[in-house]
Amino acid sequence: MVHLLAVAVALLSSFKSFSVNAQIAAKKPLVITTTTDLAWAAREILGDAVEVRSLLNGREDPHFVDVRPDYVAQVAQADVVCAVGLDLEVGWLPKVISKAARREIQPGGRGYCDFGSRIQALDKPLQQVDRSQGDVHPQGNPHYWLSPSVLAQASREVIDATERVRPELKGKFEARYSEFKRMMLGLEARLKARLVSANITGEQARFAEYHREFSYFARSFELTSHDTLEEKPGLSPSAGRLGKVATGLRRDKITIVLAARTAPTRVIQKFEEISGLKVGVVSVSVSQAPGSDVETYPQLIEKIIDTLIAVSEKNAAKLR
Amino acid sequence: MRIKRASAFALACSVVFFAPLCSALADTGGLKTFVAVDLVGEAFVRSKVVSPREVEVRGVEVFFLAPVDPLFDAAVGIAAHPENGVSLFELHEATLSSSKLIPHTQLRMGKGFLYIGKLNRIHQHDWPFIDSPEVQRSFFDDEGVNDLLLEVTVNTPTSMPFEATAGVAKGWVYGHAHNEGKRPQVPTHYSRVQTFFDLPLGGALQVAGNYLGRTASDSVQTQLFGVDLTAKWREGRRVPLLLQGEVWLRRVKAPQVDREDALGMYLFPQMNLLDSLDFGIRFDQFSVLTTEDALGESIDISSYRIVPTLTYKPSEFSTFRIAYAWDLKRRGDATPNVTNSSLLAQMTYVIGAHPSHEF
Repeated sequence: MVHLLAVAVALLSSFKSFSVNAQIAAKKPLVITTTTDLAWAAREILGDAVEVRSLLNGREDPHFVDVRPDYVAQVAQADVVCAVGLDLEVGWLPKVISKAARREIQPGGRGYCDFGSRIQALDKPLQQVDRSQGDVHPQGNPHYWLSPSVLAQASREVIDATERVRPELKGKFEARYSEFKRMMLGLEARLKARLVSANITGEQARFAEYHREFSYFARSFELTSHDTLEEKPGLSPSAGRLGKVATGLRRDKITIVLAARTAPTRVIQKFEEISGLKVGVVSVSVSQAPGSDVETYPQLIEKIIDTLIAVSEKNAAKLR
Repeated sequence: MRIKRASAFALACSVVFFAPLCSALADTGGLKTFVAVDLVGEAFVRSKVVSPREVEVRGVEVFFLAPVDPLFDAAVGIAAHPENGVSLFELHEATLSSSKLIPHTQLRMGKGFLYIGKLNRIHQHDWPFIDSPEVQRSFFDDEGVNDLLLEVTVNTPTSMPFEATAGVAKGWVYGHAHNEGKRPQVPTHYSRVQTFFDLPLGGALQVAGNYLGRTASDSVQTQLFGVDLTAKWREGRRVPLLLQGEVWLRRVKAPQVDREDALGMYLFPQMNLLDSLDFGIRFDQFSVLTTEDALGESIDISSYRIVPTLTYKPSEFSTFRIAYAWDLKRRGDATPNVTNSSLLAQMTYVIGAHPSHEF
């Protein structure tokens, strides 16, 4: 009788675990990324086998985000949580993950994925960092997603994390990843050729930026960052600083000035007044929000290149 | 007192003697430290009952945070507040918490501020205004209720964000005390249920219902029912519009005495004027609902405070505020009278690794 009971219990438990495992296997893994750009890359690479969602909608500045309870609820459902890393989300993501209270998606867990861990960071401070220098990222510049080739390199991380949480998917994404890399390198090469044909090379390829967020983009497209409007990262520049930068740009015949859409509009307008130069204000993240003209990553990068060329032509005419 | 001396000693050691040790631990144990300083000043322009005060350091908080092991995180905080002209350090927080033991569940145990309401969950240097609303002073003893506690918070992984907290605290004392108190008949117990909505134009609203109860050793039963809300619109570093408020009803029942009900609230809308400059006005109201006149007739006696506040916040680590406060009193149906008015100023700064704030 005891044996019969034991067999029944074993059968029931194996049936239960089978049905739970079958449910898990049937349900698509959910990958949550902090930014829309990572979400776009994850969708391209993982395809329909995985559901991908982004916490941000592409309109926010990922440096300054609140610990919103809806982010906590989304992260609590995730199998994989992906961050840009390099301390970009340090002000909010650790709290979101901690409040979601799941061991697997916390740093060190098998569902945690840090895209930034895959790349060689630029602008890494050589000296000790403190707050008198502004919002310096001690691990280096986190704005690498604006370089197609660097984003392709970083995106490898989402495959590894997805395979860690769903070993049965191992090896299923390699072909898509190869195709993704080819597409990104092709995009970079094509847009680089556009810049060359617009004569933005050498001395003409120098540019100024509001915040140092185009470093990787510049390296990919053989541009040179000449100056930043911000005197210290994360701090709004004074009128004196704007005047100084404006004088330098006019003297050195720099025709390209770029700023992200999240830069303070009032400061950008002030700079345009002072310098007489047009600032190319661009989206720096993919967005599916209503009215967005950069719904995919290739659209985003093409739009930046278009704006850059247009601004360069306009400002060159002014400086002639 | 022993704890205060030990805390002060720990602070001195960590700051002066053991700084290299602290930094070594920071490298290996993930230790993060921060110190927050909060200076306030108040000058009464028109006053009937209180004498002018001077500028004082309202609080210095020293915090140490680190993971203890793969399952637990710890926080230790000591704070100095002026009392009778002397700043004494006392233990504010010594908690062990975990968000890794049970899925979707955070556990917190040790000494700390109760996770209830809005202001009670935030350190005073992080409040968006200078002084404490009367409802906070009367119901939560100014800075907040701090006790030995065991607390559970559950977040539901649903499309509608939902967070529920339940906790029990020792309850021998309630609020700030310098004695061990007496064993309560029913210890302090509390709960908070919170949800969250998107608002138009990129805004978001967090709203929560709260309950706290306690029956003291002398059979005085206290119950608090409250709602707190925070609405925020954010654009990068700027918060163009913030709305924060709390409404609380306190019910006190003592043996052989009529029940006393008191209602208090504050509402603080704040708008961003320039990059680092915000302007807000706080409206406070406090009424004892069960007051009776000499004839035994119910009478409404309410106090109000209106506090326009200008905040300059060049970064998230330093804040300068100036405010003007009008105190008004109303009896029955009469028009409210201004009883006091005062000028307030505040400077706060944080050094070290301050953790991120809740919504």
